[in-house]
Formats: sequence, C-alpha cells, structure tokens
Amino acid sequence: MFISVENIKKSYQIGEVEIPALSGATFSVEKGEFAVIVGPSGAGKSTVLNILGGMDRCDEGQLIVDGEQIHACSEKELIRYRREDIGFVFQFYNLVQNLTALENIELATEICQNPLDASTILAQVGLEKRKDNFPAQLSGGEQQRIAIARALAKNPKLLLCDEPTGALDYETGKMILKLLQDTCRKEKMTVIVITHNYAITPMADKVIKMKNGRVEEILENSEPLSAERIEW
Amino acid sequence: MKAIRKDTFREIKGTLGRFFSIMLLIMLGVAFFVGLRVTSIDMQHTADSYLSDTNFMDFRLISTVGFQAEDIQAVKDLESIKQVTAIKQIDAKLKLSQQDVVVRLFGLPQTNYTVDKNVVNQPVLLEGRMPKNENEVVVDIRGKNIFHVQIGDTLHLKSGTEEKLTEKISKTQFQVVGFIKRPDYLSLERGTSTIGNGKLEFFLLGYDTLFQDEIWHEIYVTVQPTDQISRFSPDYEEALAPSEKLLQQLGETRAAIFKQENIIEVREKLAEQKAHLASAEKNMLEQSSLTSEATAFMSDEQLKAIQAQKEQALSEIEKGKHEIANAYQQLAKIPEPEWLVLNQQQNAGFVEFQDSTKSIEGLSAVFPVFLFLVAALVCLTTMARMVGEQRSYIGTLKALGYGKFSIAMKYITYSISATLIGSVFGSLIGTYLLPEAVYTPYQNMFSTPELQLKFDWFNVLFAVFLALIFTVIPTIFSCVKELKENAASLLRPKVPPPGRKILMERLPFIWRRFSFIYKVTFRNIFRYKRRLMMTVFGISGCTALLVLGFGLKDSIGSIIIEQYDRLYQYQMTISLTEHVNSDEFQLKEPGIEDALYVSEQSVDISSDGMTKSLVMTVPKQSERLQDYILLQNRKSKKLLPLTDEGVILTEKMANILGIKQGDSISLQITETKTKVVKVTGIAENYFYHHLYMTPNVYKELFEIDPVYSTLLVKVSEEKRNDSAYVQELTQKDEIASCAFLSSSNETMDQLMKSLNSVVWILIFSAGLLAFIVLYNLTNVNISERVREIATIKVLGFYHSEVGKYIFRENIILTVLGTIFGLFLGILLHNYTLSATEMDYTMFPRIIQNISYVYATVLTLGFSFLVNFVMYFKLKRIHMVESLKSVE
Repeated sequence: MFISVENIKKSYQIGEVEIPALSGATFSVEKGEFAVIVGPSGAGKSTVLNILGGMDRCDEGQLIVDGEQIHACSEKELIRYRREDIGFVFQFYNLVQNLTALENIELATEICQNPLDASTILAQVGLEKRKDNFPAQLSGGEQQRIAIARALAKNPKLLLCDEPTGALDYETGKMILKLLQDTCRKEKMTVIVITHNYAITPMADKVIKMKNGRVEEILENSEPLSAERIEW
Repeated sequence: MKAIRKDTFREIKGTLGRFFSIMLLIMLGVAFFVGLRVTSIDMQHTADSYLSDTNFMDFRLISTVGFQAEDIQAVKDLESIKQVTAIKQIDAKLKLSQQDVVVRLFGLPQTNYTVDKNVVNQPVLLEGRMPKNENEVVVDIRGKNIFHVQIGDTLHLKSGTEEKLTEKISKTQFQVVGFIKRPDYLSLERGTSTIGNGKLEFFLLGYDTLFQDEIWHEIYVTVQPTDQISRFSPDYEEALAPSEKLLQQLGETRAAIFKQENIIEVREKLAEQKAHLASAEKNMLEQSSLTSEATAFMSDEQLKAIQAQKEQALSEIEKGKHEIANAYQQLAKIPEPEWLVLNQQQNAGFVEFQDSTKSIEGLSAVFPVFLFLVAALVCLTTMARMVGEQRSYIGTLKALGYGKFSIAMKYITYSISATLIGSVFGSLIGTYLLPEAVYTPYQNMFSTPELQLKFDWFNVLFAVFLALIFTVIPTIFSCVKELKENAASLLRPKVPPPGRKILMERLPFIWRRFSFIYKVTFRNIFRYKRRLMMTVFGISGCTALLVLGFGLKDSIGSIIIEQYDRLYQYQMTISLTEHVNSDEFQLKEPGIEDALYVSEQSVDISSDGMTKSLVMTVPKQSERLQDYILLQNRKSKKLLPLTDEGVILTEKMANILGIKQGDSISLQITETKTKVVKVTGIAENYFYHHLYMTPNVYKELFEIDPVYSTLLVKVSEEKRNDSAYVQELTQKDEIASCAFLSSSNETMDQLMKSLNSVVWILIFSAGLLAFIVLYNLTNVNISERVREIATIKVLGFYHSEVGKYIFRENIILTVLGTIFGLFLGILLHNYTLSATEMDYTMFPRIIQNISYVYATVLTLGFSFLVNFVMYFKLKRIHMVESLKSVE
C-alpha cells in the first residue's frame, strides 16, 4: 500500500468545547491511483486533507506514505515531507502575485531536491507562452494550471488537490480535471482530489465517501470515465 | 452610531500594536515639539522672573567724563524713570594663581543693597555675607569658580595705570566675605577694560565711601511701565523707546552743560587770566623802562628794592604762565563730553541668553516636523491596510445604510484616539522632562536660577493640532477610495494588486542572478512606494538621530584637540612682568624649545552696528606666527599669510558680523575713536575670537608701538603639563605668570558631561523610531500576505526560509534607510551645531568614523530586534489560512 490511513482521529479545541472532526477514518490509496475524497461540508474532508498534506497532526491513528510514518514526524520532518513529497493544488490557486508564471513554478523547484524543469512543466500544462505573465494577467483556469504545474514541478509522491475546480466555471473545471487525470495516467502520479462535488466521482479509480468524520463508503471504479465525459 | 463606536474600541483592543505605533510616534513628535519650544519659553520665563526680582536695569548710562551729582539728579527728575542707581567703579590688577588678572571694583552707596528694592542690578548673595566696613568686599562668583578665590582671602589691588591706586580709593587691601552674582552679568562674559590685557575677569563689590572723587561712572536706570511685559518680547523694546529718547536728549543737554562749565568757561577764564597775566607783564616791563629813567635819581638801596620787586613780579608771572599752561594741558585731556545710553540689547549676558533661547526654539522646527512626517506615513500605511482588510465590513455597513461619514468616523476616531493619547504623554514628557535635559548644558553658561517648568497651553494645543493634521488627513486619504465604492463591489473580494515588472528587470544580467526570494522582495519594495518611503524615512531618521548624538560628542569633545593640538602649535603662554624689555630679554630655560613674543589685548570691533570684543594678537615677527598658530582657511586648508595689508579674523566672529575676506571692520582704538581696517583672511578657529595683525598695522592704527609682554612657548615633550615646571618658571623675576594651554577647559568638561543626557535621549528616540517603523512595516506586510506566507509554508518552506522571505525586504529597506540616514545625520549635525553653538565657540564639524559605525550598528541592531520579535508572529501563522477563501 502506497498511502495507508488507519483509524485517524482528530478533534479541535475551540474555547471550552472539544469538537471532533475525525472520529476514526481508515482508507488506502495505491501508487498511481486517482482517488477522490468526497462528502458534504463538515464531513471531515478538510481535516483529512490537512493531515495528508502534513499541515496538521492527528490525535490518534497512523498515516503511512510510501513506508514513512508521517504521524510520528517531528515538525521539521513534516516540513521536509511537504517540501519533497507533497504537491498541493489549492482551490484559489494561491499563486504569489508578485512572481510571474515561471517564477511561481521556480518557487517550488528551488527548494526541493529532485525538481523537474520549470519550463518543461509549463509546456506540459500548455502555458509556455504565458511564462512571463503575472497571475493578475491570467484567467482563473490558467492560474490553476500554473498552480498544478507548480505542484508537479516538485516531482512529488502525491498530488493533493483541494477543490481544484471550486473557483472555476464548468468548462475550465473540466479542463483542469482532465489535466489532473492525464498527469495521473501518463506520469503514474498518485492524485487525491478533495471535493464536495459528487459529479467528479465517476472519473476516479477510487472514491472515498465521508460523512460525520468517518469514512462512509469506499468504491473502486474498474472503468473510470475520462474527464471529458463527466458532467455536472 | 453607538454600535460603531463600540466596534471602534474593540478594533483598538484587537490591533494594539498598530494603535501603539501611531500613538508612540505622535508622543515622540509632540514631546520634541513641546519640549524644545517650551524650554525656550521656560528659560525666558525663568530669566524674566530672576531679572525682575533682582531689578535688572533697563538702561545703563555711561559718560566719557563721568557723572556729577547734578547729572544723577537730572536723571531722577525725568518722568517715566522709576529707579536710579549710580555707581562708582575702578579697574585694577590682582595677582591670582600666578596670573595678573584685571578686576573691577564697584562701590554702591547703600550698605544694605541686597534687601533694598530700589537698587538697580541688585546683587544676589550666594555665599558668606555682605561687607560690613570699608575693609571688606564681596566677590563675583566667577572669581571663585575660575580663580578659586575663597572667603577669608585678602585681595591686594594694584594699579593698572601710572596713577597710584590710592589717589582714587582709600584702601587697596580687602578681605573677601562673600560671593555674589549680579543680573547684569548673566553669562560668563565680563567685558573689557582699558588696563592690563584688557579682559575683565570678575568684579568686586565694596563700600562706596572708599572712592575719593564725587564722580560716578555708571548710572543704572529702570523705567516705569515695564513690569508686566516680558523682556524677550518686542513690545518691551517698544515700551522703552520713549524713555530711551528722553535719556538721550538729557544726555545731550547735560553733556553740553558740562562742556560749558568745565571746558568753555574754564578755557575763557584761562584766556582771561592769560590776558591778565600778559598785560601785567607788559605793564611791568613798561614800568621798569620808566623806572630805569628814574633810577638815576635813586639810591642804591632803592634800586635794589625795585630790582627785587621786579624779579619777584617776573617770577610770579612765570609761575602764572606755567599754571595756565598746565591748566590748558589738563583741559586738553578732558574728552569730548558725551553720554551713551545702552539698553538690554547691549548687555552681553542678556543677548547671549536671548540667542540661546532662540537657537533652542530653532531646533523645534526640525526634529518634530520630521517625526510628524514619519507619523503621517505610518498612519497612512496602517490605515490603508486596515481599510483594505475591512472592505467587506465597510460594504456590510454600507448595505445596512450607514453613510460614508459615519463609516469614516470609525477610522478617524481610531487615529484621533491614538493621536490624543500620544499627545497627552508627549506633552507631559515635553513639558516636564525634556526642558531639564536640554537646559543642563546651558546652566553652566548662565547665572540664571533653576529652570521654572510651566505647562504651556498654547504650544501644547498647537502641537496637538499639528499632530491631528498629520494623522487625520492621511486617515481620510486612505479610506476615501473605499468609501466611494458601492456596497456590492465592496462585498466582492478586492482584485489583488497586479504584479508588475520593475525597472531592475530591464537589466537582465542583474535580474537573472536573483533567486525568486530576491525577485519577490524587490518587486514588493518597489510596488508599495508608501511603505518604502515610510521605512526609509523612519530608518534614516533613526540613523540620523544616532549620528547626531554621537556626532555632538565628537564635535564638542574635539574642540580642545582641534584648537590646542592642531591649530595651536605652542603649549604654553608666559606673561612677563612690566619692566622686561622684549628686545633684551631672552628666555633660556631647559624645556623651552622656542618662543615668540606677542602683544595680546582685548579690543572691541564692530561692523554694521554690531559690536563684539575679542583678543587681538600682534606677533613681534609676523613671519613666525604661522609656526605657532596655524592660520588657514577651514575648508580649502589654504594657509593665510599675515601681511601689512590688513588683519586676519577668526571664522566664528566673521560669521557673527557677516564679514567676508576683503571686507572692512571698525576697530575701537580708544573709548571714543575707531579706525577702519581691512580683513585679509578668515582663519579656522574653534574657541573664543581672535584678531591677528602685524606690528606695522598696529602702529598705523594705534599710533604707538605694541608692548610685547606675552610669550607663546613651545615646550619640549617631557615637560608638557608638568605643574612643577610651571611653579619653577614662575619663580623667575621676569615671569609674571605662565600657564599651559589645556588647563582652562573646565567649562568644556562640564558641557561634555551634560551632553550625555542629550545623547541618551537621542538614542532612545532613535530606537523607538526604528522599532515603530519596522514593526509597522512588518505588521502590515505580514497581515497583507498571510495567504502567501501560509502557501509557502504548505509548499514546504522552513521557518528560517519563511523569515528570510519576509524580512529580506526589511533588511534591504533598513540598509537603504541607514545609508540615507548617515547623510541625513551629517546635515542634521551641521544644522544642530550651528543652531546651538555659543557665541564664543565654533564646534568643529567633525563626526568620527566610529560614530558612523555606532549609528549603523545600533540601527541594524534595532532592526534585528524587530525582526526577531516578528519572527515568532510569523511562526504562528497557520497553514490553514491558505485554504480559506479570498476575502
């Protein structure tokens, strides 16, 4: 198993009250798999994302990524994990406004050990002509493609996408999903998409449905649809 | 409205850091503004009450022929004259600590003058008691401070002229029974005398009955309606103008009467007597020719008797002639009678004090304005950020139906609260702490009492008003754009400011070398010009204040070195006793390498109606002077040769009188005679004022040969500053006194010590300034870029890398500000020195390299401290921020 999540629990202390966010989630994702974690808001998706992305720790349970015990990492090791192993795609792209498209990708490549070439990746997402443009000069879809390129350029073990189509229109959203699916297929990249949009599930190899802090159901698609064919 | 107000106060509570930075800057600005202005007001106030308590004169009258009892009565009889005190005086020499010093003995008519409120220029007893008989005197406190006179000492006065002192005063030995000060000697300056080296050192006060003649030398006058007006206001002089005119008119009348009675009538009487004598002589000669015819009929005895008679008559005539000639000679000695009416602007002490208060006030135009400007910039960036953060809040309020004004009031209230609280603290510091510190260096220069601190509403309100302008206007300016937008557009997220290429990118060979961190940094720096300005301004202000602080110490500390080590190439001055002839006497002593005869004398010079006194030096051999005193132009370093063309004047005096090379000045030759001479060079000099001329120029001006009674001496290394050596030299008959140059610098040491408090104030202010500005910059940067910071954290930046990502901007701006500040510091230093230096010193414009280093290191240190504190704030930013929706 490439990624193994085992009985993870997490609760947040807000004032006097302890609010459970995850009350024991268990699932696994294989290498090169395209997984979608889906559920309504409050289901614990974001908590899973935070823990998977190395941004937060679980209170109980185990998270093992490529044999590494992430749940036991020190803070510094967590940073290294984010730096080397995770590619993160945000809902709102989170590009640095003051850097050009190419420079935003370099922001990632300059800190990790085995990065891919920034220009090549840019070409891969089809934006080599926009490399000197600033984020403000790009459309939402273009910005998200840059963001994906930035995540991919680190040559991560895992591409984590948080509502990647959430801020985009239908057509552009589909295009981004296609890019993610193609990357997964061609580069054998493990991709986990977190979304509340059930319509995306048919294109995934594995669908992890969440509700009330638990994994409600895990479905495996033997014949996932191509991204162009899904509709919502 | 009430809900908004509550919200405003919660806002303040939630953003205390920002609130405090505006508040503290305003506090600093107001403190300096109020402090510097109030110090000068407090000083004037203190002096005013001291001067009125001691009944300081409005006018001092002097006459070329002295005053008679009738003259004094005539002054008393003038209307508008309140009090009149006539005083007798005499200048004499006194041998003290191996020096001949010139002192002035005053005699006052009253014996209880310290309590008699009618005495003008009332002496203030500082120690001991007042004299109880003719054998006792009280001494000017300067005599104690500089010459170490003590109570119980006996002072032997010696004449400074050919006349015996006993012809003027009945006693010449006095016992010191106390020390006093007098309001007409406010500064350390004691004026000039016509005897000795011309420099009055201190005065004595004794019984009036000591004086033999019924002639008074000075009349001090106060005028009726001046009690309520400050002596420092222009109204004062205006109020005095009519009385001044009356006194001048009286002076003309009385001088004319004196001339009539004592000159014209005497001359007429003499002429009459002379004519009488001449006719008597003629008669007698005629008689004797007559008698010669008659002699034939006379006996020998008769003849003898006649002959004897004749001889007697002749000798009487001769005697009469002689007497008349003598009387004529006496008459010719009487100078043209003239009264001089001098007002307070001609009192050196008062004018020096007035200048000092003005220079302190002058400083208030620089420091506070600069601080207010930084406050305005900080306010602008803070408020712009706050308004930017609260777009949706403003939108919501608008949607709820609040008007522009009530929304703006939130931000205006915010900045007004910060300003007012800062102003309160600033006013208190400015009123009660700063004046003491600023006044300390001056306290050693003036005999005014402790500073009276007064809360000055006008200046406080003025400062608050200025502070409000500098904060409220930027506040309105920064929220006006948002307020114009409609509710709907405010509720939509703001389009982030687009990235733009900066100029530096046009230089690809530089740009390509930068890593992305530098690229972000530079783009940020140039994108937010206000922050750039705020930071560079603030930091440069910090550095400049530090340069000023350390520079002040350098400049004042180096006066001694510059003057006595560099400009003066000799180490000792020796005054010779009167009978020594400079042509014959050769000083041959071990330890003396070389010596130059000079004549030194205090003289008054004037230009454009201003009169100042200085020391005139005439070297016996002009060409050798350059080996003893480096006469050069300060800026060009060009040597100035002393020639028969004219005189060389020292720089500070030239500045005061507005003299340039080639201009002419008037030199006071005698009390009533002046001559014009050309200034051929202006020489670098830092302490006191000097005038140098060749013996030929001196002879031309004064019509006598200079008396060379002073030697400038080069002493060999091992004997320098050896007090036993001084003792040894003084034993010699020919030497009246000798002293090493560097021994008379107590005032400078005092000044240096008191400067420390000023330097600490400056360092503290500088630190506060740097801290506020950098804190603000970082705070705004972080709050604006939380998302970016969270994102790079998600990307896997280590804490130190995140720190560098944000702080590199601070560091670059700090370095930029520091460099700028070093230059600003030089300007500020220059300005402050010229605004504050005393009349008789010029502070060298010197800042040691180490001071620049201190200023730089401290600035960078402050910056490091801020970054260190902010680093923890940065660490606390949670990565989840990156997942939130754009506000």
